Amino acid sequence: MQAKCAELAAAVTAYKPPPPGYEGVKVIGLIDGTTYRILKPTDHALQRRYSNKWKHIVCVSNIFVFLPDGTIAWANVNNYGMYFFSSYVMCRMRVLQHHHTRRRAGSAHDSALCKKLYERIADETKTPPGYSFLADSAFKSTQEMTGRVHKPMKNGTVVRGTQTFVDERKAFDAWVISVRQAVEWGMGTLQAWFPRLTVPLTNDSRRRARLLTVITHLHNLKTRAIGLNRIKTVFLPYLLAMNEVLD
Amino acid sequence: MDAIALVVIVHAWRRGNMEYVLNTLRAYVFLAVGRAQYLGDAQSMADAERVVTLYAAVRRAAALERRRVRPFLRTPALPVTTWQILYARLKETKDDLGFIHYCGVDYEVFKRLLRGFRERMEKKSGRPRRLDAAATLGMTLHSLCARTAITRGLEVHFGVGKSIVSRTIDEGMELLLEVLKEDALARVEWPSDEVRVQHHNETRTPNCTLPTAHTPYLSCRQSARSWLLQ
Repeated sequence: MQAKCAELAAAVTAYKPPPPGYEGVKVIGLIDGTTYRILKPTDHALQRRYSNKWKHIVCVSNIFVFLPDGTIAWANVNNYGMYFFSSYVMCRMRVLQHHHTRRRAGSAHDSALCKKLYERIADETKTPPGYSFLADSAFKSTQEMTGRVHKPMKNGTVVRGTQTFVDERKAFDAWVISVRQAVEWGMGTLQAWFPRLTVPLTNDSRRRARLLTVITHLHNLKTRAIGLNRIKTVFLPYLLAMNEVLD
Repeated sequence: MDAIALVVIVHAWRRGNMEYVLNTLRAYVFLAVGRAQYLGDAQSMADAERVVTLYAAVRRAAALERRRVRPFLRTPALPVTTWQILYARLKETKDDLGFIHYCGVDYEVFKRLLRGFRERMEKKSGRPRRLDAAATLGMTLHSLCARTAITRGLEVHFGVGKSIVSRTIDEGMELLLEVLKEDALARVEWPSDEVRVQHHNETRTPNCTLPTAHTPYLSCRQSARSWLLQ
């Protein structure tokens, strides 16, 4: 069960070794969220739930977890554009006072969509202990997630400790940002392979979900069978080398 | 019917707003017939008859006009379609760039998807489909790979009408999802799961010497150089 995790982690380490002080970090996956534009629903309340006020678009939000071999390991697609803590009815009631409504930021939304993912990562039977994921600063790092999800620090974060500790933390931060770049390649590949995603998707939620699911599966099929995927292109030499070493 | 109403109707007709003309006339028909029934005198009966005659004539004219300005594509209009050419070339050469560009997948992957797709198509009930399994799959894949899946373009590429295009994509997407869910290579798989999917690249050798999609982890420049050295 751990063989594949060890292989993936070894490939990431071989590609870019973690800085001193963090040698034990074994990354097996990369998490990121993305939005795809949709046609505006005619129902105002629904349109409001799909609208993302940070980006000023009407969209669905999706979370993807990419592995270093280029495939998608977990996906949550076709969610509302921005998270509301009210139900649909509450949302209808709030339409009039929407300037005064408190809403969560898009970053909190990304994190809320990943509830199931966090459970999966925290569960030791699903993810062997010692292995971790990289995410951006939108994702949460609570007590039980410490060491399981690494993310870059936000602007103005205060790091306390000795000078060595601070330097090491900074170097680790740079390493996280650098390796996490791969997930952006993954998102790019999705849009390059399926340009349908760049055009507003259909209004019909059921069909949209079907389209996004097909695209997720087809992405994995193309990655495994054709393999012109930038994450795979970069990491595969290390993966193959590690295969030999580990065998 | 008064003169002003007639002017308004004629104006709408001249602007081509037949919907408006017909709706207005229909309202007048109801009014005139109702009045004739209520009063029952010769004058209003004659009025009602005139309005009904006018409405019938306009409706007939509108129908004729609609038939005249609405051309639609018929199958015999295109003896050979783009799809037939692309698919024939793919079967012939096994590595047709035009096809890969059109559908986003190569011959092996297309064949793999088509196997499950055809089985499911044959089990489908209902009227026989105009397009076969390969064309349905091709249209579905193209709708994902095209920046704009213009219905009219697809009509010409496949030689079928608008409604068939939308129905084909809808049905094709449903079938494609079923096929992909059962395909081991298309699985969305958490790394620690028991079943391990073997990547095709590790086992398969490229079937031609040219640098293709199958040559993994080489940049364009590198692969071009290695091809030149051969």
